Order: sequence, then structure tokens, then C-alpha cells
Amino acid sequence: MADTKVAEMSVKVVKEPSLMTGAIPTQDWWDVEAVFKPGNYCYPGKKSIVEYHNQNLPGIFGEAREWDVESDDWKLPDNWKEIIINGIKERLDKFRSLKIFMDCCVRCGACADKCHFFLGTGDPKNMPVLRAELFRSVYRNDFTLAGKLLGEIAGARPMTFKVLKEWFMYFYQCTECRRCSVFCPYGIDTAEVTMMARELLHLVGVNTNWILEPAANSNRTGNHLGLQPHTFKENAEFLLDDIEEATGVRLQNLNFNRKGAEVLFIFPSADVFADPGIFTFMGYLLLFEHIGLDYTISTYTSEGGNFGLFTHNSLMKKLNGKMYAEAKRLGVKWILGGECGHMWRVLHQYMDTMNGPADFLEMPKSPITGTVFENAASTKMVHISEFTADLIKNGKLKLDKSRNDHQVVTYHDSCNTARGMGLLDEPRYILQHACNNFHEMPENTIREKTFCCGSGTGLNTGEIMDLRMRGGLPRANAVKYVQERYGVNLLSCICAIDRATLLASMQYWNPGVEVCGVSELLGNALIMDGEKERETDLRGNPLAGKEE
Amino acid sequence: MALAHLLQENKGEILEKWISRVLASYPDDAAMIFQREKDRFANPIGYNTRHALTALYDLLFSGDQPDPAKVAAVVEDFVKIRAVQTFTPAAAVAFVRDLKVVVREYCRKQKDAAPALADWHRFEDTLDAVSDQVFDLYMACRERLYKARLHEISHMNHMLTQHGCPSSLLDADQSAKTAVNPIHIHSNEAR
Repeated sequence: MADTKVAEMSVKVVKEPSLMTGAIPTQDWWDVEAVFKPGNYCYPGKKSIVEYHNQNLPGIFGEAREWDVESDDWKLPDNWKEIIINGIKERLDKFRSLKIFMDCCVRCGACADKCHFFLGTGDPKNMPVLRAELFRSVYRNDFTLAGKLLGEIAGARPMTFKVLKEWFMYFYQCTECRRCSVFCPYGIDTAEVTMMARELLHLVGVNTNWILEPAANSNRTGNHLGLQPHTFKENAEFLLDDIEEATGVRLQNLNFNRKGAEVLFIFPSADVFADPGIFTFMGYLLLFEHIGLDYTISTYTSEGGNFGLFTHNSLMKKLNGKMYAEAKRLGVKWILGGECGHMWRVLHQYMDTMNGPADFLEMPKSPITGTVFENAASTKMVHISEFTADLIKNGKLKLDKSRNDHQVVTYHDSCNTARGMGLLDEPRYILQHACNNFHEMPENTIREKTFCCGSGTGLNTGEIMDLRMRGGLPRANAVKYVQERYGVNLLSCICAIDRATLLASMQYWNPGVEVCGVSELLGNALIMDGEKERETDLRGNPLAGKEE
Repeated sequence: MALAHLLQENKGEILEKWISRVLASYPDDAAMIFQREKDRFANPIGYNTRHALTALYDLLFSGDQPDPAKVAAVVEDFVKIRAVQTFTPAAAVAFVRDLKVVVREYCRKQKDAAPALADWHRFEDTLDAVSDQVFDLYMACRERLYKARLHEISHMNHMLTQHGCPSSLLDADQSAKTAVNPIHIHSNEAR
């Protein structure tokens, strides 16, 4: 009957480690080596970029050099193990949270199946507990009595090149989204474990260019692309033409570096150059014109996104400090922040202890509604969704939500704003007032349980597109559900990395679903003084009933 | 017993074996979770695997030759997942051949099951045709992935890797300053 030889071969093809299948682990997890192949790692930092960082923050980014991730010679310093172990010691002393996170995990497994990278790859080392174990095993070996005495029996292992490769592989398959932390009974913040591991990798010069170059650009020219002030300004001004085309109104309020403005507006720079962020930017400008806000935009701090967060706390502090230095120089009263992700994580969780309190600024108070934002008493920085929701609640905006009737919208809670700062209801409140067709994704994929876009923390680079799709599967899977059930064709969010990366994710997983910022939908709905009869939305798409 | 009848009568058992076998292409710890968790949003791989294989099984053995359009509709999402995972192309589409192995093993254990040779040929031909089609779907997924990447490049994100950082101005050779062109983009190009 059956050809047993073929049957056996088939079993081998699928079950056994081989070149045909890619290795299926048959050993203990720490015996499985990380193998770098094109497509599963980010390109390392360019020598010139690392040199630049070393000039500004010596001793943090290791030796600048050319190195090949796939090779077994990463040109590490001779004493790299010592540097890492000393680095761990320094951080254990400095950050009490790290010490607690190293010690208190009981390996209950609650987090195991909560990570989008685990759910998309099936790789056990992407279980948050096991990812942290990559670090803990080294911690135990050098910093605990049990580990020193019992070694492997106590789950300890020394730092080796094999371990270093694992760290580089798996701490760059974590987007620091913190979904696992929501389910951890001890509240272990695996994102902070990843942050520490990345800092340690940086100490020995193991890094990725997609993070270091934007960070260098942000430091040098103010935004992650390195756009110089005149280019940044021209790009933003060019969008006024598009706004006029869609609304018939020529905005006069766009201005830069203006001293004495009431509010400094800081947003992700992608919003002035990249589709679909530019439409979000148009929404911001329409809103400010609508309410007559006295604001200015800075070209010195023209980037909300803080790429330092993905490298080292010193660089994070420096980039965050630029925002406040500029607020001081311009003499504004308070700061308004746009639809950005990690800008808000840094602001909400770290700014106050790094650069705060910002006592030279005033307590943010909406000049339109009089609402005082006491939640921002120390940072003096208000999220545009909070600001807008307050305007709507006080009846200060004239809105025609039927202008978004050609869209069926859902909302993706961006990890940084949802879990990082608890901004859950304000964006939804805006959406409810700006569009008629809104549908939530399933309960276990939104709000504090939201799934990451799959490309955060500097992983939104093209060379790892396959990996990004794997990480983005759980989010896309939920979008697919509302696409099929309600005909959703627009995925809204309040993060620039989401706007950039969910686009690729939707193109692969759910064609037909576009991505937008919440402010874009608000911009469509705003009834402007002197506007023409609106035929299209800000993208130039015909409104419902206006199709030819 | 005719093979078609056997496949229909024993669908539950054969299907479960097939699903388990396909999920076993993931590491053991993951396969266990993908097998156990029933919530489709908490377990996209497990759900899509079960959903696609069940629908495909029904299509294959409901009587007539399966309609390729219907086959594509039921397995596309599943193939899409396999196409971006770390499997080689052969392993990614091996799930169709897995069914052959499962059915053979099943028949071997059933003493009264001795399907005619013609039945086996028909069965194998059907699965071979589906296997070919699944490979086409796999390739379409890969092409879609590359198109998404191309789209991203053409929408400016490549700026980061294509352009030198202004920090290069700070190179030891300061005379290089004049040689570096400032980045100049216009939003016209950004669209």
C-alpha cells in the first residue's frame, strides 16, 4: 500500500532539522544557536555614525568599526565579556527595577503566549519569559550565589559569544510594546529588560544602523531623517497647497521658530514628508486654524520620536532635553505633542526623572476651553488627542462627520500611548465625533491588550520585512476580522511608526485597508470658515455621494 | 472500503492527525500552545491552521474534484502565514503532502481498509494538483511581500539608508564639508 520510504522521507522533511526545513529544535533552548541569515537581522551601525555618537557621548556605543553580523568575528574588543558583566553590575546598582525583574520571575508562563513575535514566529525564545531568561541566565551566573555554586542546575550560564548572538537576535525581536507586562502577575516589564540588554550590546559596539542613524540625525539636525531646517519648512509649506485644494481655504497660520508663541507643537517628522503622515499633519494645521491657536513649530526639535529610547538612557535624555531647551529658548508657555509613539513613552515614563520637572513652563491650559491639564503638571506637555477631545467636549469644534462616510474605520491602540501612558478613550472620543462608521477590533486585541504593529523600537527597516510581517500577524489578524465583518477599510492610529509600518502590514495581510492618523479624520470633518463645498477628503478621494 | 468513503467517515480523526502534524512543524513548546489555545485572536497560527485545513479537507473529499478558486479561498490566509515564516519554500507548502502521509498511516492501521489502487491514484492526483496550486499561492505571497517592500522604499523610508547622515560632516577631514550635498527632498516626491 503506502510507500514507506516516501512516508519516512516526508516525516524527515518536516520533523527533523535539515537544510530543507530549517532546524526544528530538538535540544534544550540554550543549546540552540542563533543563526543569522539575510532577512532575520538589521544591518549594523555604520562606522561613521558610531563615531559621531562617540564624539557626543563617549563610552556608550563601543568601538566604531565595520562588522558583519553573519560572520563569527564581530571584531569585539578583547575584554568584551568583562565590559558586559561590569555593565550589568552598574545597571543592577543603578536601576532597582532591573534587580527586581531579574529576581522575581517565577516562570508561571502567563506571558508566554502574549508576545506578538512569539505568536507570529512560534519561536520559544520569543516567549517573554524565555527572552528575559537569556539575560537572567547570565545574571544568575555572575550575581547569585545559587548560580555561582550550581551553574546550569540553577539556570546559570556564563556570557559567551553564543549568548551574545542570542541577545542580538532576540532583543531585536522585541518591540518593547509591554503587552506581556499586562499579563504578568508581578508586573515585570520585559521592555525594560530589553532596554538594558540593548544598552549592554551597545557597550561592546553591537548595534543596528536603523536606530543609530536616526538618533544621530535627530541630535544633529532635529529630525530622524536629517532634514535641514529649510527643507523641513518647505515640505510643510507645500502641504498648504494640498489643504487648499481639498478645502478651498489657504491657511495662514503655519510658522516656524517663532519666539513668544503660546504653544510649541512637536510631532513626528514623518508627518511632513511621508504618506500617510502628511494627511495627519494637514489635520493638525486645520485644527489649529479652526480654533486660532497661537502655536509654533521648531526646526531645531522637529522630531517627536525619540530614537535614543532604543539605545541608551543618556541619548534618550539628550534627545528629550532638546525639546525642553527649545521650549525655553522660544519662551512658550507649554508644549503640545502630536500623534507620536515613543515620544510619549519617554515623556510619560522617563522625562520627569531625566529632565524634569519643567518648572520654567506654565501649567498647560487650553486657551480655547480654559481646561487645565493637571495630568501634565510636571512635564507641561499635552497630547493632541487630549487637547482635541477637550475641545469637542466643550463644543468648540464645528464638525461634519458625514465627510468620513466613505470610510469604515477601526482604531489601533498604539502600544506607547495605550500601555505607556493610558491614553485609551480620548482618540475614540474624537473618532466618534469625526466619523459615523467606526468599529472596534476584538476586545483582547485593543486598549491595554493591544497588539503591536510588529515593527516598533527601530525594527521598521526593510531588510527584515519577513520578520516584521511575522510580528505584525496578530494585529493584522484582528484587522482582518473587522474588515470581513464590517467592511473596515481604514485603520486609524496615533503613532508615526504605526502609520509607516501598518501600511506595509496591511498591503501584505489585508489589501484594501488603508492607514491614517486620527487627526486626518478630524481634518476631514472640520467645517472651516470660508471653505468651498467639499468634494474630496484630504487625500483627494471623493466623499460619499460625490463620486463621479 | 472505498477511499472516499473512508475519508468522509473518519474525517474527525484523520483531520486531527493532520492538524497536529502540520503544527508539529513548529518547535514543541509553540506547537503545544498553538494546538491548545482556541481563541482565534490569541492564537492566529493555531486558528488559521485549523480553520484552513478543515475547510480544505471538506473541499477535497466532498465528492467532486475541488474547484481551484475555492481551494485558493480557503488556504490563502494560511499560506500567507507560512510564506513569511522561517520555513524553506518546500517546508512551507509541505502541509498538503502531510495529508498523504496521515491517510496512508491511517489506512495501514485499519485492517479492513484496503482501498483500490485507482482510488489511491485519484487521491494522489488530487493532492498533487492542490500542492502545485499551493506553491503558486506561496509565490504570489512572496511577490506581494516584495511589492510591499518596494512601496515602502518608494515612499521615502529608504532615505535613511540611502543618504549620508549630516554627522558625516564631522569627519576628521573637515574639508569634506563642502563635498557633502545637503539632503533636499520635496513633498512632491514623497507621494
